[in-house]
Amino acid sequence: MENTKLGIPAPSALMVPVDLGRTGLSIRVKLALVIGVLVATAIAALATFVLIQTREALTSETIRRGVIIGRNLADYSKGAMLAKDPLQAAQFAKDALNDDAMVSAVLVDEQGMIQAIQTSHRKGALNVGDHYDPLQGAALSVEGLAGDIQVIQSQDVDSGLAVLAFSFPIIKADVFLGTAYISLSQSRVQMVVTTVTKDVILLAVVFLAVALFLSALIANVIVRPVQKLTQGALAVGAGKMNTRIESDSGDELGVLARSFNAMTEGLQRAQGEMLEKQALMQELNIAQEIQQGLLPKKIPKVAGYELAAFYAPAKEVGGDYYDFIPVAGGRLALVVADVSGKSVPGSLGMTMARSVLRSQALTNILPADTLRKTNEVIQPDIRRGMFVTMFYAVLDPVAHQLACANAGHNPIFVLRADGQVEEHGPEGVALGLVPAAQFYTEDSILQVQTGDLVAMYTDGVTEAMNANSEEYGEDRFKESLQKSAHLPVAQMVEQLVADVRTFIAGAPPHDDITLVLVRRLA
Amino acid sequence: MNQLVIDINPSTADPSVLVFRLAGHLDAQTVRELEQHYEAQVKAAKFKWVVDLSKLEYISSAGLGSFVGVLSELRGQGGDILFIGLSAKMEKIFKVLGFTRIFRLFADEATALQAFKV
Repeated sequence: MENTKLGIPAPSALMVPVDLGRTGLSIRVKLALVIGVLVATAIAALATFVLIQTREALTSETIRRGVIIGRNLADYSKGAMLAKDPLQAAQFAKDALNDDAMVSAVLVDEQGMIQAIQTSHRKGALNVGDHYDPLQGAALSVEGLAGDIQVIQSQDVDSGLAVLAFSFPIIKADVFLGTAYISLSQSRVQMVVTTVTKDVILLAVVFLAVALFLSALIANVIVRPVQKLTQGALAVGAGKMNTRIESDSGDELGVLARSFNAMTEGLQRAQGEMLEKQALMQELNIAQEIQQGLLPKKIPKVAGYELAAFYAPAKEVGGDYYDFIPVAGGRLALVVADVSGKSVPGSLGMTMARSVLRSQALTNILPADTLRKTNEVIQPDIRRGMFVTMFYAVLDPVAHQLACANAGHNPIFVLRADGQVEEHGPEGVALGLVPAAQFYTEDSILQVQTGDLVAMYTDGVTEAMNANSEEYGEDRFKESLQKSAHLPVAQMVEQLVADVRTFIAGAPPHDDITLVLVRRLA
Repeated sequence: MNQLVIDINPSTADPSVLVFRLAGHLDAQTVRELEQHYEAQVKAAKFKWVVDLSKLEYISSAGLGSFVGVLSELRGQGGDILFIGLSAKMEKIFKVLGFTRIFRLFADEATALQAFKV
């Protein structure tokens, strides 16, 4: 790339390493946690609901069963109780125990004495004839149950099992004969609840696993485009400006990917423009450096004369230059020139013209010969269509003569001591246009009187334009010369430039301004 | 952006001569397109050109240089560039640069065509 030659760093070198900062829990983990908690909560709620329902259903079934068994026992044992027949009573109690859930069946007479007692477990401490203390516990209010039946949630004395205890009055023909007590184990309820709980836990584990797996899948769907974006952003950060992220998704991440691409494209364009601008700036800087380097470092001293020079480059570097060359016989050659090319080619053209002129100035006496020879040397080598206009004048400070020759440059102005301004413009073809045979220039001697001032300039002065596209022009320049005539040339040159700048009033100058002043003092 | 309008047609009076009618701004940018036309016409063996500057508002040194750049090629083939329609200001520029010693200027197309016949 051209840029590297100009010392512009490669794009990647402009980039700063990216600090991604602290990385916390990844989206995957967060999502898995959220989904896990959600699923667990849902399962727990569902399990609780199922367990409560199951427990209630089983309890009411046990109560129904207890009521049927107890009612039957109370009904069937009426005869045996009336007859005080313990054997028959025992048989009824035994029959009642046929049901799996039954824990105990006790028939008690009206005195509270046991007539028959049967338990599903080992025989307890109570026997027929003993006083029976009914099981104590929380009474259950059961809807639709006859008022004389009691249901108590209790614990069996012998086995320690959780039981539902029922009591049924035994009444025959309004005569209270005793009470039938039965108790049914709730272990079945417990067992079913345990089974259901186990099932629910198993189900929960399976669901949780499925949920986590799904959450990982979903996380991938979300995270993959995000990872792509992250990688893309890092790539761009590393200077790979042609990075694009593929996404045809219609969701927010798809939109983000497309905005990312648009952003990268914008960045790429901006960077390209910046590099181009830098390259252009660099080129202009090089051109300016070449140009500045060619200008005289200081104004030479000539006895009886004062000299001043001014040069200001336009934004787009033109190819003006001026020069002072000491030549034979104590004379001083003055040069003002304008190269037609701009920027680096213009500066190089100027360098060539300056070098050739400097060597020719030393070997030729007549200015026209100097220009003729200069044209002869540079014309074959100069870029086609490029040319140099030059006003070349040799000052003889003893004879007070200015020997001039012109190569396509604008005439010089002579401000006479009496305030008159004369134009002095010998004819001549610009340097570099035509070969020696067709080239033309002529010598012309200007006599310099005491107080006379010679102004050599480039068209950047007279063609300076204001915002209304009006030119500063030769007449304004002549007037300005007359108005500032009283000043020493060093201040006069500043005054002349200030007048041009006042006229253009901030409009950007489109050409270099070059001005050389020479005044005979004595 | 300043535009240059380029109109190139054979002269009605003498079809062997091409008439370039330039309007607008001829500067370092717009001269590139004009130089492509030069090249094309030289390739097409059209060497006699009349350039009408009457509609040209501005000409930069790059524009002026382009005429000199193609001139030797045309003259080498027995052709030339003759200018017509120069404003007083443009004529002064031509004179100062020494272009009047390189090119011939004419008042109008008819007199320029006459010059080609001699």
